[in-house]
Amino acid sequence: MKKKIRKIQRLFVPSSANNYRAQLLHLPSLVAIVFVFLMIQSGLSLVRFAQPAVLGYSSQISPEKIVELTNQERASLGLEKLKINDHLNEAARRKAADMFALNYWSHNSPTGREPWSFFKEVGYDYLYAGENLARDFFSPEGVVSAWMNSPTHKENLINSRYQEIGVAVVEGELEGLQTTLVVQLFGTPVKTIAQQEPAIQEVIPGEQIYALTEESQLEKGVLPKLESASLYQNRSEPVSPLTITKMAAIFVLGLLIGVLLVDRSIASKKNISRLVGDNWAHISFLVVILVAVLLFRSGSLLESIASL
Amino acid sequence: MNKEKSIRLIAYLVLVFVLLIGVAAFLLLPPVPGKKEGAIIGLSGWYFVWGLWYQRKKDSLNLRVALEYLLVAVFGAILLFSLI
Repeated sequence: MKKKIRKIQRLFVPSSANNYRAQLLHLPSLVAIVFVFLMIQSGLSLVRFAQPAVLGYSSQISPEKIVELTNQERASLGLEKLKINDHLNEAARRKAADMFALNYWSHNSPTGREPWSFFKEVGYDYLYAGENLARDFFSPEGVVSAWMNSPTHKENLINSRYQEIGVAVVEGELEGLQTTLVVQLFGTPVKTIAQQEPAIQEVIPGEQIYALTEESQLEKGVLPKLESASLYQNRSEPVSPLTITKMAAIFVLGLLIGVLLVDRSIASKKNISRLVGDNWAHISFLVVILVAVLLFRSGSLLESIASL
Repeated sequence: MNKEKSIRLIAYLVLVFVLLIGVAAFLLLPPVPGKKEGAIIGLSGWYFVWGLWYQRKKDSLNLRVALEYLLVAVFGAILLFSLI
């Protein structure tokens, strides 16, 4: 028992047994810590790949809220509010469906299809058009704030040429991961949109599936597993991989900062002189990393795109 | 306060100031490919270079110390990369 206690003590407390430096701060231990963290990340990636339903993202984003926040940003700059257009909503939904069906995260599909084809597909004849994409955000505020912090997305968001907007928030499986896609389309119609309805959309209870059209890329592949964001509200929330990563990072950072503090205070108390890295510098760096880990929010964007 | 102590204090202040700029860039830059990655590499690279400079100033730079700074900087970078 005593041996075990001494062994643990050696990990944290500098003494003659560990060359007056806490064992956890020795180079091999640091390498081991980096290695273990990499292993945790690899394991997480494997689980995400093998069991996408277990680890994933669950969002509380609604298209209405995205439109509301977008209009708030525009109003704060004295710009006119954008009107929701059903055709643009449908085009956005089809774009998201296409991304899930062909498993891509880009403005253009792997088959070379441009975003503007979705506008045409639903009969929206535009003078100006734009597209913003986002994925894996948890809140609508997070999405709009990320767009506003990105000059190119902001340009789309506050462009005075646009008059109408369409938004789709769709959850599905993308690149092996349960993902929330947000597609925001902007447009200014050439004239009053043709009275045609956007091509058939069938709704099957419990699941939202997009019907095929003659031009649609969807007909070439299997129907994507698409589910509206609201359907997820009654399910048990999947564990976010980001939360697990954050927890692991906070634990390791807390451990290292603690060991550095103990090591420093004991060395200073016993007046031990050592040829090692500066503990206060390491602590400063790790605390800054800890702050970043705590404040970081998920989500990623693609550069925005516009046809002006 | 003697000269050595004031140099140390200034060195710490510069370190923390630049680290804070780096972390602000990491948090505030849009999550567009390349931007956050650049902030991470800048942040960790700065820490490593600062560490080498500081230890050299203290006349206590050797390979083990340099490796210690490198490992801490790499560890920080890996943590941040794992978030994005």
